[in-house]
Amino acid sequence: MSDRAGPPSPPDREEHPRTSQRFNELRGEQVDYAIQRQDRTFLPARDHCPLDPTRPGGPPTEIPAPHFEIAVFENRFPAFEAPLGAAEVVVYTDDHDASFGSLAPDRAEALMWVWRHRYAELGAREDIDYVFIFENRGVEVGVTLHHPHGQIYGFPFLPPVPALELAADERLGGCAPCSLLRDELGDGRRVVYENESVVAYIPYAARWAYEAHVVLREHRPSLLACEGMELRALAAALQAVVRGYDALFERPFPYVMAVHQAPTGGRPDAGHLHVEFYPPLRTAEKLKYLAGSEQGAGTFISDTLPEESAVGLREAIARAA
Amino acid sequence: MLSKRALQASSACASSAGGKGLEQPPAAGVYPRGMAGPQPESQANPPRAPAGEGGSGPSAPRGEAYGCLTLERRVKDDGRALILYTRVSPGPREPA
Repeated sequence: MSDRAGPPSPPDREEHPRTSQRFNELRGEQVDYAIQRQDRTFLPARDHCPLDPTRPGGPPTEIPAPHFEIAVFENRFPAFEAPLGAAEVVVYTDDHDASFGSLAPDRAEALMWVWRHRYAELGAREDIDYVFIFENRGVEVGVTLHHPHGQIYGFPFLPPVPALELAADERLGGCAPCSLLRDELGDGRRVVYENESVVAYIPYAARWAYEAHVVLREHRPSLLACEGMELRALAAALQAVVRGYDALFERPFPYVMAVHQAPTGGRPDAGHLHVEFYPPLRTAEKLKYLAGSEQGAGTFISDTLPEESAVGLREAIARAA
Repeated sequence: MLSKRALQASSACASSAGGKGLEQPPAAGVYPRGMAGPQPESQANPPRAPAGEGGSGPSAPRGEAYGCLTLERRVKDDGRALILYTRVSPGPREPA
């Protein structure tokens, strides 16, 4: 499926797969092509949300049931698809106006189990090397549907960011998230939330003003290694951070939420379950853009210090509790 | 081509265990690929509805249990998989 030579061919949906990867030699990374996504649903009217339940007399939606709790389905516009990967949509609730932060605690906990189930099932597939669970929230990060939902990509290769984390393990001579968590707890200035099993902090070298990492205290490579209590604690921590984000500037806070855990295509001793948030806001009304230095040189320029951001976020989390 | 491990519900939702949480050991399969075993062909490759058929709705649901969840697998009219998850002991619905 990878194409390393020659100019791009004209799209031919009869002869070419909808998704494919090409290796970018200059950057040493894969680029995914999913040309059908150009036609995906874009910010539909509220009464035509495809993630709403299908109500009697209403328009058909992706979920043909009048009510549901949590639904997962194969993406109609996949970035990856069998036999080389997968793309799924995870709908958190049938309430169009809810959000991850507003879910009842037991619903959020159930979502952790859904993530775990999908990690197990997709990770068992021979064509999937990395199960990536994530949520994009807000038009600022490219959301095309406002209904509360996340996504799962089953990558047919190990993507660069998880690979960097594995490289950090080697550089630090052990589990990098374990080591960094010890450092953050020892310092304490950037910790914004703690419970019995999970710690959230703005990392020492955060790239985004309010970047937060939510890390299991114990070394758990994946959701499958977690005890039930830890899944509940993880859900509580994630909701605390998201509610704190919303309280920070008293507005719905855009973010990318990325779940990092063990690869499923080898390296069975690698990985430490944690969740990273990348919010683009640096003030209530100003966005951080990835511009010359970030895109052309690969170096983030931050306008804020993590210690100062942590003070504001910690207070916001406390206010929202 | 695809192999799937048998999904094991080795524990349950902490919130449905009387608030005490779970003291059970972690799930047996930390790394799903390593735990993957041969599966019946019918599980490895769930049948898909042929395009253009089954216009009256998704295929018949099939119930399963996983942790504190029950899941119902369906196949949409266009052949895509759909799973509906329900908590075994759901709490009160969120306020609208």
